[in-house]
Amino acid sequence: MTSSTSVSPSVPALRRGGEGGADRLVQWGTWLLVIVLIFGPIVPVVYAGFVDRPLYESGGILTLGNFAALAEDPAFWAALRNTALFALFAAVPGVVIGAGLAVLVGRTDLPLRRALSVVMVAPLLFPGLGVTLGWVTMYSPSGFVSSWAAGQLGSTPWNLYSIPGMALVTLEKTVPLVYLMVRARLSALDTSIESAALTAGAGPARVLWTVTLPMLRPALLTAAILIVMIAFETLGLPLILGGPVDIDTLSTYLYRTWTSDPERQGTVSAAASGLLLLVTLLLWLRTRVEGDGGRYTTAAGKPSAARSLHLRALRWPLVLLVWCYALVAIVLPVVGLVMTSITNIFAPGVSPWSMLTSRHFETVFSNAALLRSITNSLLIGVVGAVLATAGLTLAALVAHRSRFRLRASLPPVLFYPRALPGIVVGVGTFWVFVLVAPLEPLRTTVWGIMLAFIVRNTAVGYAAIHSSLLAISTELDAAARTSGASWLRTCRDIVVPMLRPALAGCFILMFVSLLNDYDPAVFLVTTGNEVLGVTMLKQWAAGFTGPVAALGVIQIAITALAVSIGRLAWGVRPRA
Amino acid sequence: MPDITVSALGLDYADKTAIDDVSFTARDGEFLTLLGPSGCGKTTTLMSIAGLTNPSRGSITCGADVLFDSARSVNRPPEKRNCGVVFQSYAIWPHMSVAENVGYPLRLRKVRKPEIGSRVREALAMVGLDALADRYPHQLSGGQQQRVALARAVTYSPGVLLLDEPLSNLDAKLREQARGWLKEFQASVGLTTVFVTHDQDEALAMSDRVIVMNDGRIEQEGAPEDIYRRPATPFVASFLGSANLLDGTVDAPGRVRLDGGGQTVAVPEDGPLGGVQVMVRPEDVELMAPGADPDVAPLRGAVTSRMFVGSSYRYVVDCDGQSVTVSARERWEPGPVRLRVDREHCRLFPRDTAAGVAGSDRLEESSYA
Ligand SMILES: Nc1ncnc2c1ncn2[C@@H]1O[C@H](COP(=O)(O)OP(=O)(O)OP(=O)(O)O)[C@@H](O)[C@H]1O
Ligand SMILES: [Mg+2]
Repeated sequence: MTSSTSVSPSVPALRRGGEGGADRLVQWGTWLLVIVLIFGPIVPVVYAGFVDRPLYESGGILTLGNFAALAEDPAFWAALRNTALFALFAAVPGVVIGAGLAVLVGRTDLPLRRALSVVMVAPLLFPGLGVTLGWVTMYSPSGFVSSWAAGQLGSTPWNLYSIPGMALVTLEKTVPLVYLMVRARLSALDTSIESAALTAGAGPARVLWTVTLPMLRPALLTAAILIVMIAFETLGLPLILGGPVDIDTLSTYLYRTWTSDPERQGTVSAAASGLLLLVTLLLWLRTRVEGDGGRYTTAAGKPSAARSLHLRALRWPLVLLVWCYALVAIVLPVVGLVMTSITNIFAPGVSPWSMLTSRHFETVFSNAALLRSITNSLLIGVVGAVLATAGLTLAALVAHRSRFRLRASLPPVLFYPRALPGIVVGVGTFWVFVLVAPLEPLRTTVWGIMLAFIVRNTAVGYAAIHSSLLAISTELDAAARTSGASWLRTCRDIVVPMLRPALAGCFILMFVSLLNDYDPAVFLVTTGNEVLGVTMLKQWAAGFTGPVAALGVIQIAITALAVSIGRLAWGVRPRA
Repeated sequence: MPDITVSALGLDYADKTAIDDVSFTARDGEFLTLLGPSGCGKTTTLMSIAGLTNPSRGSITCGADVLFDSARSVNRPPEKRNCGVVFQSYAIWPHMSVAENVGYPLRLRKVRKPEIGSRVREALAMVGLDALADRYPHQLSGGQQQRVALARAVTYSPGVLLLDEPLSNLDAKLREQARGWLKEFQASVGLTTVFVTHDQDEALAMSDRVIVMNDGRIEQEGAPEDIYRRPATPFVASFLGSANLLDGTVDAPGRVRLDGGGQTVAVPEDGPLGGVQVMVRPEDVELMAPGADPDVAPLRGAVTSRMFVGSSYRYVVDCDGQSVTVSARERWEPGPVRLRVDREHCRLFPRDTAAGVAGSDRLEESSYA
């Protein structure tokens, strides 16, 4: 052992004592923060459903009276029935079209697949209200396409202001979601099973129908559940299209009762709890189906070079059909939105080119409230995305990289907000600010809205971090721990630096989500803390569609900019 | 360097006991190997020492320091155990250069910058990588990464070096070289080392002492020659090298009557009685012509197959229904032969322990594979 001196033993010993004290503090703190933020807004909503008077009055007695009152309200049942119909009309075509497109792009030799793929997912980044306005300019009874169709056919065969009409407009958002989910599923499937069927003599259509489709069943089911969840919680769309013709869905029923009849807050809360329960069940169902999906996995690892089925004679007709769909459902509404923002009147019979104006943009930039809604939304987007990314990173590290006792409870909690309807978060946040005195000053600020938005969108950001974190070998942090680094130090020096691209992805996705969200804010907005979506909703209700369109275009522009930066710099992509 | 003592260590998962009642001591400066088939609990044991897995019971001490003791609820976190660990995947941090990787543990210990530099250079020189200090991990070969991992694990003079199959990612040629190199390195540094492998050649070639594990328990512990020559159980016999296990009955001290044809073989006299298994290694059996003297070669048999394995032939000889594998340099044609069994190298196991044999009466081929 003569040369044992080559590793000299004079390295200072590590400090003893306080073993992992800081680590444990951070872990408990993170866990508590997550639990309080996510369940905080739910508690008052559920509680308010079970007491006999508004929460701000003391001495409430527990009761089921609110539920009884709800059950006696025919408007509630009508709204429930409408929502169910709406969900059905949205889910069936959404799944069929989305899955069909995914199979065509992912599995066949359809020409122009790549371009189609980009166009298909673009609507995910469009602000909901702006796009709805676009649909109205084109397909409402006085819209461009409708008038043209009426001229050709004598009458318009569709009516946007109806439940099927609302379902039609949701296709804008749901088809890309289904498309992404099915594409993901397809790329996990081995194409060799299809090749096997082909060599066994089956034609391409038959292979798709008998081999590919059954393998996709779990993905189709989860997609359908997702659409039903969206249908139940979406607020803006039914408010705009259903409002004028007195069609209430569950969420608009809640919204209207809340805003018009303060006496009935208990009933609203009861209905909101019911809605929450329903959507939670749907989420649970979705997770179950996804979990079972493993059964359908054919092979581990990458599929052998993806083979595509030859469409032969069907190629060109299908291309035509697919691009017609893209034109009708994606391009025209955006054109409508943009034209509305740059013309005085955008209506059939008037040449838009003679009506060009920059007036709406001028209004937006000169009207303090409108301008403020842009700056507020940007502020919420940037600050919220930074805070959310930091918080979610910590939460993900505690959940997946620590030995914290309650770590296993974090992932389901962080994914749970997928099932939180915006209205519930909004009402709940409102109640928290009203009831918890120290938080009261937040109620009228952008920060309150920011909190509500963050809570509602945690799943988006968490999913972005989660998958990358799981891809980093735990031996890398184990090596740092045994080298002498505490948990926190390991996270800081080893895990977080390797996670950087995912964190950038999380930031961009959170920014976009926070910028475009508005449901929870309708209960929190007052003068001074306006955000884009709510301002658009109010302007529209007041009849000023020009500024709404201008705001929508601005929103699309900001989103597109953020996403391109993310995509160019870190390869960020939208996901379901 | 301190001893590492593991006593009565056990770990239960929800549906499975990963290790049970594992006790051993790694003595000062010793190269101790944990050897066993996949899933037997080697990594679990090693990572319990490092503090990366929480055992359910037992205790672990390093010299006078108690690292883990379930009875006293002591569980020192990994960063306070001062173990040097080399992981199977090497776990080189991809965002740090080689020098940064090796210097990181020193940085954690607040060593001054210039000293870190000189120590890192020293450690890299020891593993022969001084020229590559500024490279990044993806620019290194597997063998070089392994050395970086080793340098990183020893720069801070850990109390013990823990190696989890560090050679398994190398190709056969490199593995051979690394074996010798690692052994030399360990001897020169003089670190108490616990090494985990499922490769018996590696274990036999490198260790001062080997602990054979099976299904979460220790089967045998001893010097390499010792456990190879005198396996305590049929499992150890067949896991280390190849072994024939022949069923029979002791009918007189030093004589076993084999099942099947009732032929007898001479065995050492100090063994169990009754139903036994006779263990004999292929190289301890000699093939002779059918006309050979029955006193020299008492067993009759018939060669049923022959395989050329390079340095020798391997024969399977049918002996009244039991097959005996024989390794021999001469070439024999299939047909009747006589077998001479080296009495000194036979071992007897009571028949009822045969349950734990790896691959039962099949011959384990690993040493010739
Ligand atoms: N997290 C876990 N949950 C349940 N069982 C586990 C877990 N980790 C390990 N095991 C089980 O404990 C047993 C011992 O595992 P261990 O990793 O120690 O085996 P090993 O001897 O290192 O095997 P290998 O040579 O394949 O690395 C295995 O049977 C394994 O299935
Ligand atoms: Mg292992």
